[in-house]
Amino acid sequence: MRKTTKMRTLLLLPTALLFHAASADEAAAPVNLCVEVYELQQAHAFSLQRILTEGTAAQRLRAMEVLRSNERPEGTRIIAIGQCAWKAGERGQFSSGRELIYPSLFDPSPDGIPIPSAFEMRLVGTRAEFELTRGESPDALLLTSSVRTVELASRLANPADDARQPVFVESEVTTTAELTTGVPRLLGMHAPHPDLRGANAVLRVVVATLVGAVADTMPPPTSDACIEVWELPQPAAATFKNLFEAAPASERADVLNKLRTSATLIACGHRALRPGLQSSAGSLKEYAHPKRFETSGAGVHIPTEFETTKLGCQMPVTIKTEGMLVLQCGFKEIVRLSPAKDDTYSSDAQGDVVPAVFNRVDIRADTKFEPRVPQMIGAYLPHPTGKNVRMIFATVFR
Amino acid sequence: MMVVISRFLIVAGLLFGTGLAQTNDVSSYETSVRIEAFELPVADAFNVQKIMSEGTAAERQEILQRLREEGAAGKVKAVAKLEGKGMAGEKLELGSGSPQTYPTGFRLTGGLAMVVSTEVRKTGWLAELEIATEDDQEQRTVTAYIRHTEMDGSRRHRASKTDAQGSFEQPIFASVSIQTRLVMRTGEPRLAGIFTPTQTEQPVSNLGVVILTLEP
Repeated sequence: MRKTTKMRTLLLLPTALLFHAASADEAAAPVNLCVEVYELQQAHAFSLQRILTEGTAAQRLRAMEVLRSNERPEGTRIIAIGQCAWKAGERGQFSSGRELIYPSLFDPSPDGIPIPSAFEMRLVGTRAEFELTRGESPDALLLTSSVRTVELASRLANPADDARQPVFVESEVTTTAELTTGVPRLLGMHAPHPDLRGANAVLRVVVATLVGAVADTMPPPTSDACIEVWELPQPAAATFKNLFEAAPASERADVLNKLRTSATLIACGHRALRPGLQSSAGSLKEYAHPKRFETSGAGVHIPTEFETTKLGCQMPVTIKTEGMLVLQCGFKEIVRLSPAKDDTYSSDAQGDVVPAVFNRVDIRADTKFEPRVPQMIGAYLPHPTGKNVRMIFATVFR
Repeated sequence: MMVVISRFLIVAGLLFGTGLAQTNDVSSYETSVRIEAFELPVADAFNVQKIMSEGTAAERQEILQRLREEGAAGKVKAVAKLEGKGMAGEKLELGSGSPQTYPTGFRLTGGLAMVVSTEVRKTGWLAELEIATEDDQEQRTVTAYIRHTEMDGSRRHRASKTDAQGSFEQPIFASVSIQTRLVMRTGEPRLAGIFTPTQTEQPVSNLGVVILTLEP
């Protein structure tokens, strides 16, 4: 009898505890997450980066209040702002944009006109997806998020005339970062693709805030990496390299800051990092070029299927040690050499379609960092080789 | 002694389970839901955010009342108002708008592209809600998927050079969607979400705020 009671206890106790755990979890209040994407002048963006990685909770809040107010710095553009509420452990999302339907497959008509036979839909706007789990510290939550903004880089070709595809630029910040209530957290920063920024020296920042009164004056620890690529004339680059390498560690951030006022920014990718989890920050142009052709009755080559190559700079970062101070930093650049314009294909004198030609740069380096001390991780000559050189720097914020 | 402890734990376990079962028995509660959306200047939208997240129930009601009044006076843009009643534990769909049919598939027949498939898209505001009760009888958990869709122009595609009409048309939709979950008390408004309006001028100067209220 006593044995049976013990058995019952052993069976029911975990059940009761399980019910209790489920009940406690269900009672957890949903949290409000606000995601903001701003485009700022370079100097303002780097200044905001410093505040959001080094500043106190009050300084971070003040910096964001300025952006949200009518006193935001000149040249600041709001790309997207969204907020929603949901429970830890569940996925949330918000999106805003235009749903562009465009033909992606064609059939040639006898008179040489590409007739759309299949369509795709692309949201031109911003879509954010996130998931929250418990953080390492008791009052922190771990946010895994992906914030994507899609923009049209070219005017839509008129499909009445040909099968040219729309050219999209997708800017993405995918990260995992720890957040505490009320304290804005920089999720990422990147330079928009040159087709979007033109001659403007601008950067885009993605900031997340768990909405509510600040729970703690101490923001959660930062664990971020930033890669920057700057272009400058070869003699100036050699002089700068000597100056940078001769500078003591404590002065290197200031030396790099001086370069930011004189050189041209090619690419920049700042993102929060977590060991074993993927992160990215960048802006890539999607160039759709013909994969298959059919010849119409009129003898015209009609592209019927397309494949996409992503053009621009990617800056992958992999953590090599748990302490996060040895990282593998990479830089990949793909540029299209021909056709020179955004036409997705071009024809030669015989009417044959000329294939697209790309140039690729791929640099990777395992580097040991000191927190907030920039390192030069590589340099390359852009194609076609001219008088300029591009220098790649990485900084770890820890 | 062991037997007493064991029996106590069994009873505790059973009571716990029964209590939860009672919590989930929500079929008898009917709840009235109101969803309102306003477009405001960015700084004002963040002010609403602050009051809605940190303010008291009275302050939240006051700011909503002010938005309603300013919406009625045309000082702010009231963009949506949906109301409905639903049973807790069941799905509730609120919507206003009209269905739009557009072509999605074509087949080339005798040099002409014939429409072979179409899709229907409902424009306007649509909210899919699920309301669950909590241990506190005055409290509800609302899971909502709120979406706004509107026509934003169209694109024409040439069917054939020989086609008298020469083209067919596909619409472009602009949409905003928010998936959200709130723990609410009846009569106390909550901020369900903030969105960037699709039709706002560039640079973005207005934000949309969506406020949800449960009424007894």
